[in-house]
Amino acid sequence: MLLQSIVSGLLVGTIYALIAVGLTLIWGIMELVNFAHGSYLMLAMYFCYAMNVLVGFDPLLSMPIAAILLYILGVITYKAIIARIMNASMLLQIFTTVALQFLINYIMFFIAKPTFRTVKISFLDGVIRIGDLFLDKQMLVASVICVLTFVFLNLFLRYSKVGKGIRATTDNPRAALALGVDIEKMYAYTWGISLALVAVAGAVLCRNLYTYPTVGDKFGLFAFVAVALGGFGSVYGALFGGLMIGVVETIVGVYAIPWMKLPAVFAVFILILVVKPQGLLGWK
Amino acid sequence: MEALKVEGLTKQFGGLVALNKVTLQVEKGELVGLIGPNGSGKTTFFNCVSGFYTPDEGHVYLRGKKITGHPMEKICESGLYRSFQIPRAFRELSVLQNVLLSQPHRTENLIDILFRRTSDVLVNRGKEYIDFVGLTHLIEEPAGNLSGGQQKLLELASALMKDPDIILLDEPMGGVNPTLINKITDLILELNRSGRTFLVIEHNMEVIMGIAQRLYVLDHGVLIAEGGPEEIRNNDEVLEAYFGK
Amino acid sequence: MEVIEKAGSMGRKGGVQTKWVLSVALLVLLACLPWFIKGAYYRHILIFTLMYVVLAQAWNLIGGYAGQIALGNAVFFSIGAYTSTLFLVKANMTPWLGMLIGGVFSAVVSLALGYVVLRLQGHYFAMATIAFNEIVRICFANWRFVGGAQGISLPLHIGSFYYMEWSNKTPYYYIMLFMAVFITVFIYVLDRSRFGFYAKAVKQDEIAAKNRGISSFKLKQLAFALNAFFTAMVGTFYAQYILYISPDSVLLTSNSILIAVIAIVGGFGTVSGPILGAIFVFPLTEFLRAYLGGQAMGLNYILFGAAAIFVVLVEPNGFVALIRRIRRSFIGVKEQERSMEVGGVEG
Repeated sequence: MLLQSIVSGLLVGTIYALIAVGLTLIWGIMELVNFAHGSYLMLAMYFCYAMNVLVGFDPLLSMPIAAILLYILGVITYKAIIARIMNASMLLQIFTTVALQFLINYIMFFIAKPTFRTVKISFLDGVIRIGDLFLDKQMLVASVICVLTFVFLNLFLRYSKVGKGIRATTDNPRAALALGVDIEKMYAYTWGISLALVAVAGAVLCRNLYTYPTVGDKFGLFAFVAVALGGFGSVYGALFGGLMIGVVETIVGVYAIPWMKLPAVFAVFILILVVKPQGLLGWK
Repeated sequence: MEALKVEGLTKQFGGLVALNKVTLQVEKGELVGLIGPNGSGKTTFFNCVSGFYTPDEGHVYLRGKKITGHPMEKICESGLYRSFQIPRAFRELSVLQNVLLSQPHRTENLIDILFRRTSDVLVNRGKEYIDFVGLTHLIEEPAGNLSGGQQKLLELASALMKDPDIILLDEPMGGVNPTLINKITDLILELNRSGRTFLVIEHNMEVIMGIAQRLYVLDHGVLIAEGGPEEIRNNDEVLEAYFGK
Repeated sequence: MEVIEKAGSMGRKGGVQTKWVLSVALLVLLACLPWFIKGAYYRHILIFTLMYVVLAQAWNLIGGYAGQIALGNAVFFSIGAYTSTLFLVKANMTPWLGMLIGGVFSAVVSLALGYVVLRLQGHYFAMATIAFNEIVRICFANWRFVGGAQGISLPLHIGSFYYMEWSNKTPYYYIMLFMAVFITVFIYVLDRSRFGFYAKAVKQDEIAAKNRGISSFKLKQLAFALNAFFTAMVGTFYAQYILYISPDSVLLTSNSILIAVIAIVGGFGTVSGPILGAIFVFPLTEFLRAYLGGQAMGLNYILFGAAAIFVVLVEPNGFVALIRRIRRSFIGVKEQERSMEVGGVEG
């Protein structure tokens, strides 16, 4: 039973991790917290839903399109808004992404109305049994996709030119500048990639969850927690954090009072912020 | 009792030992200098004494009272005023407002803070100090418009407003044009003559040798010499620290 | 005494004079409004606008003056609403007393929370307040004592002063008007007292302020507690006005964020900013909703969100500063120098 919980938790955790990675990339490179992160996730979910209703695509099919669209949206967001406040006070920077979250949520409220939408999915129903464990097929697939995306991201960051540029700018902006890295472009890329990652998670999530205007908020918050657990700015930390949250959430849900899942996670979050902002693993 | 006594102060950053068991004292009314080559830990020392950093080992006593590890605001209220190497004036506040920020905070209660303004007595005192440093003509000017040297004068006035037991000056002559250097030096001497206690970090050898009664020399976080200006000038170790063998 | 030539040009003394005259005139107008405005819908708009004014002003204390963006005020709002309501329902206590108790209790909670989170840097503090908000919301939704997700319907005692309930909106209006005026005056006084002085210094350079002996932490604690107190009182009022409270109506994080956005869009750190923000978000956008009917659900907030982004990009100091800018461009530079407030000794 415990093993079952842990494994289920890990599976769900990979999704949280993927969402968190985008957040931590932006923080790492420009010390900005994207309070609107969850809202972009919601947008991705709505897009996949719309594609499902209009064209009959399974969200997994819409996923690449969603990723591209959200990538573009990320770049636009950076260039149109974020770039202008890079040198502003912290208060203003916080306010900017908060205002973005506000705006995006209400735009969707207006367009989509606060009704709950479900996506009709045709395949991958049911449960797989591995030994003593019962694993939901959906979850499994979702998790595998997230892990693959994560691996792909890591390869990208390690070996591609842009990826190296992003890492260089994150680690040492001045050196990167001196070496000829176009910092502005790196910022834009990071925003694009961050949202593209979120799109993948969104595509996967909307298969299993209701889609409604504020669905992203909880995930956005979880992303914060994951990033805090793993250390702000650390990609592996985000993975660790996401997995941890998944496990904690599941275990609390099974062994303790179910509704305490979220409060427990958030309480841990506040504790981490206060006690060890470098994350449990002490990474920067 | 000494105005300031520091015993065995040690501070490490990761593997680097910035301060290694530094011990010094300043008697009331003295003007003591703290010198040493770049990177020797002088500013770190000030940071530890004033509460900006918490020392790893050692103790700091202000007029006999232990202030080691206390927060900055508490140490300031206890009677130690520290000025920064690069002046940190409140750029959008006027010169007068800057000085008045040094009014005593310990004795304020909730009602004072919520409803009262600075008393006329304190306002006049502030104006006196501004006059003393010669900034009266700029009294309503936002501090951000002042030159570097003028900001140092402002810092001095702000320090006086606090009526501290000891004033720690971090490179008061740094980046100041020569005419102002003389003025600042004169002011410090005058204040010292009337009983103010100073501990001064300074790079400008000519100046510090001329005004300090005693000097401490720091090199790589270690106190390597102590004495009057003449002694220090002829101390081999000091010469070595600055100029190499 | 300088002659006030036209509304635009103001010497410093003249400026203050005009402000006082305008304020008093406005006050008189507001006090007489119930005579002119009889429609329940319009009165409702007025009341809600005033509520937002008070909430935004309270937020301004912690966000604008103490410089910490708090995104969890719904908690304090709810503490006020639930405390007075529970006392009413369980002990038949008058909400007037319950309001005070709620306010104090809320302040105490803010001190406890603040002790833990006020030392956090900007982003972290904001996140922590959101997390706290969510924790409280979910706990309340699952706590039978406070009515759980169902919430609490207030017992009807229409027309009773003791129970703070009336069928006519007029008494509600005056209560809110009083609170709005009170808190605005309160902030005006605070702005010019040492609190405002130290807050401005801390906002400019926290380290330098601490170096002078100012405890920025204590200042933030004070701001946070005052914010909690006033916010809670509005919570009680809300409960008595709407006669129904539930986690989904009073504990939503989006409400907390709305308050912050109102205050900032109006112009945080100023006395009149939150008023402008509240006026913009509620009445203007409500009329829009009325015009475009039910299909325009949420349109008002979209406009407001767009306004928020606009503020970010064009004038970060909010509508107050925007108006000042426009005024200056009409008056010209010379007048600008004269009318610019070189605020008294305290700034």
